Amino acid sequence: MLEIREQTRLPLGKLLRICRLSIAHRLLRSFVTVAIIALAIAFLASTLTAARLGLAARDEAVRETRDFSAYSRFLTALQAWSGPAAALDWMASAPDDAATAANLQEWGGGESAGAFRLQAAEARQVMNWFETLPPGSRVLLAENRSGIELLDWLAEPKNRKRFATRLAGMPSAKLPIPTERLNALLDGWLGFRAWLGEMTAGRNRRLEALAQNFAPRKPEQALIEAAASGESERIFADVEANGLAFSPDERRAIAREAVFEAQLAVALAWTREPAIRAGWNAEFQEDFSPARVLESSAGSPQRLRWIKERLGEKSAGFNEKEFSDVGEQFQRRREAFEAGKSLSTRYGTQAGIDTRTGWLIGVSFLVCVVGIANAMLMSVLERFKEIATMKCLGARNETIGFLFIFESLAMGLLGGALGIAGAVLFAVLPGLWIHGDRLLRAFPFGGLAEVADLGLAAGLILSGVAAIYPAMVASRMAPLEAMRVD
Amino acid sequence: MTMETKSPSSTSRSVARRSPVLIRTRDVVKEYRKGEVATRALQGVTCEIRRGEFVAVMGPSGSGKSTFFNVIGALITPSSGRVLVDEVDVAQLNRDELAYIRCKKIGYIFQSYNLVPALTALENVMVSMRFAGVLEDDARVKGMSLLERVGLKDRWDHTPKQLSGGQQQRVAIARSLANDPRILLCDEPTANLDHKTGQDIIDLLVALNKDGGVTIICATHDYRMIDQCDRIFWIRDGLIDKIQNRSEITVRLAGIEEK
Repeated sequence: MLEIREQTRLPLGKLLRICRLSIAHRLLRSFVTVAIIALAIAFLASTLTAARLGLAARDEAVRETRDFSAYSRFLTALQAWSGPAAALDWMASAPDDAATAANLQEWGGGESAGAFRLQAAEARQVMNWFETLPPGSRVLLAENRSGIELLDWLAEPKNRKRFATRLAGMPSAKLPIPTERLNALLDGWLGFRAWLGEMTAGRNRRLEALAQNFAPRKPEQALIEAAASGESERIFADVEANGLAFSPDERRAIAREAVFEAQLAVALAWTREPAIRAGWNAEFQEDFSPARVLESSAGSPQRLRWIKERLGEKSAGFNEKEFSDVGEQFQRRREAFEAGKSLSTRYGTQAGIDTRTGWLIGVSFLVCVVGIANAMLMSVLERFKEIATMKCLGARNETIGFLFIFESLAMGLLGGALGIAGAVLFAVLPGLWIHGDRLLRAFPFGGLAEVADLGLAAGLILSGVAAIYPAMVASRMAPLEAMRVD
Repeated sequence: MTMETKSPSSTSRSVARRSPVLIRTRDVVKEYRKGEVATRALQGVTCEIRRGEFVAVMGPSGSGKSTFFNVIGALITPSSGRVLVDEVDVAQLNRDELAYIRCKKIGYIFQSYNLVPALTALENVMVSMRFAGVLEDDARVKGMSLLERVGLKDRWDHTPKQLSGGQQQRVAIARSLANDPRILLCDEPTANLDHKTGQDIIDLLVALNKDGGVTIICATHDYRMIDQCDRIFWIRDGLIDKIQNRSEITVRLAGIEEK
């Protein structure tokens, strides 16, 4: 009786070599398979890459406008004392940190800061929505009230019913928040409103005390002047005494920004000179706006010369270089600000894959798996004799199956690599075009490496899954098939 | 070419007669089912093949010749009956054990050579040794010596495409010998080859049989092959119609003669 031992496995190196040779042997079909994988992976990877690039550019843009956002937050905080709408704005946009939460809680009389913020944000949303409606619609809906008046008016249940009926007859106007949220907001509105008024009044009293230092100017004016004269710390001390905290970095940024705002105010004052305002349109065929004049003159000697000439005798105080510098900086800030905002809307929440793209990627993966499976199956059926011969030579079922899974995986890896290369072409080049040097300054190498890993993994998984059935067919092929003569 | 049956008196090769039985079948039945219809390709075949024999299997198509051939080659398992290859009942083995038998005990030679097209001659010979667990270096040395034996040592790095039909068949023979099998199973090994090359292959097989003591079972229609064999199994209607010793027949090999 002979002893039957377990069959030895083919070593990995040998398997890889057979796979490589098999792929090379059917170069055209392998190429098609690899191309299918590469396309699917390129689609996935380019979408992800575009999102990563967009996010990196957004972060960079936000970073560029950090000074300005600290400054504007500070101003909003100051303005929160100037009326209920501004107070809502301040609350809705207040940063999500412990100090603000403490402030809000103090102001909100014990309510949780998160719920409070949400309430403020929703109220602001409804107000904004209403105020941006066409005037005709506003009249029809609520007799041309202002946003805050609308909420006051709606707090009364019978008005709410009337409003709902009118809204139902106006399909173009759609509430920005769900009806039940609005109702919840309105139910508590009167209390909230009373508290808002109280807070505003209290803040106004404090502001008066604060403003006495700078009377009779507006608080921001006071800040700008204080910053320009290096005395901004005094303002912050006052503000802090009134319950608003800013870090030293933020204070420096706000002071810097305030100086710039002062320069900007000076520059804009020049553009508002009657001589400029009157002659601009005729000279440059452009609608006049102070910002437009400032931006378009930056770095344009011809326009600067024209402004100086138009100013006539006043031009003695006009510094062309300063004006141009401020214009340039203003333009850069505005661009960065807009880029940050638009990129936030585009990539802010879901890392760049929206539902539609997600479906497309899913379908492309499905097509890819079916395509590879088909190609592999053809390869298996075409090689029936080779497979059966190997079985006659003593190959185990598993060995044959592994051979095909390996072959598919190798093509998946290759396709994944090609797809990632394609994604670089399809996403990075346009990204550089769109985001410009902002992207170069903050190129997300780490993020792209992640995308590459993901792409390779996806290629391997797709090709592995696709190879399961063909490998099963191959491994179950009877050795007898070797005898078939074609 | 003609063949005549002689009277069963002459001497047979005593070597094969005295050696132990290598393949033994007993009442082997093989049924193929296609839906309701069952076809009996073999209906109870019993035979013995001894070590060192050169057996030719003959029969018209549809006679069950291929089925008989595949059953004793452990390529298919019989529906009933016993097939003992080297004292192991093939019908009782699972697929991994069958793979082991095919790897170590039997060498296969096919009509269309069946080399792996992506591999070189040497690698083709080495594949079955790798399946048997022989180390890479040992397999290389043995592969080269086998190629030398079939006269293709200097073509070791040629792929099947770069070899002629006869050369491919010789590589296939080298491959079938890689794990020192007791049995060589040849399926029409000369059918795709021209006269001269076919003769070379036959000479090679005969040399392996006579000098190497390898048992050869050969399905063939080539009279030159039959001329060299010890016994002929005639299969008809799923049964062994008759078994003749080489000495019982006369094979006349001749070209076309003018009357």
